[in-house]
Amino acid sequence: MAKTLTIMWRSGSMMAMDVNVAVNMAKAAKAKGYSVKMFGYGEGVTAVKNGQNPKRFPNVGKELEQMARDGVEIAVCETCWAARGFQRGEEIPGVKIGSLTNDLFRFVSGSDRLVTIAR
Amino acid sequence: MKTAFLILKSPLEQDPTHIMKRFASADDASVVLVEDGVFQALSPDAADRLGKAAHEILVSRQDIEARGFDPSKLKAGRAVGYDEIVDLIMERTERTVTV
Repeated sequence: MAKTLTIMWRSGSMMAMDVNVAVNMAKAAKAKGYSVKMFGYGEGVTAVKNGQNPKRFPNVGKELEQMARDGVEIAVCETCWAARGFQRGEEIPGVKIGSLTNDLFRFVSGSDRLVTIAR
Repeated sequence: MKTAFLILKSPLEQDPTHIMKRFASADDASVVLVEDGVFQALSPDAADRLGKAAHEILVSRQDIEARGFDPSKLKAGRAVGYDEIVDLIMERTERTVTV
């Protein structure tokens, strides 16, 4: 059975390149045959807002959407999501508006490694 | 415990070695430098400190080149792709600590 890597990120899509690092790491892990799960917390939930349209740098929302299509399980914190005024249905397809207790803990308990990308 | 330290900040923001030494000896410490963390291996003083706190330093080639630097200018460690970073995290260390 393939080992599992969980990547948690906490930075917003417009703050730094943290989410891009998370995506690059997830892609590399998937390519090497590992199972990958991702969880966004705090400002990190902004990375899964549907309809992002950055003009001069990579669209990390599109990359996460593709990762979800490729079988990466992605969830974000519902409390953090609601705190920013986002509604259910505004997330990119394939991402779960979840919770620390139900999703992050499930990811971590089933993982061989956890990487946190945060500042 | 063999530990991979993930460093995202430049030496102007942070000297990561103080925290690293609390978690692992140099023999057990490996370092992954991404984003502005790559400056830790481009600045001579920071690279020297890091080289004493860890036995292995992997520097994201993509993040070096994104900042206009040549990987051959590294003062410590070696430039690698994310595939090797993942290999370190999943197979050659037992935990990852973000500093």
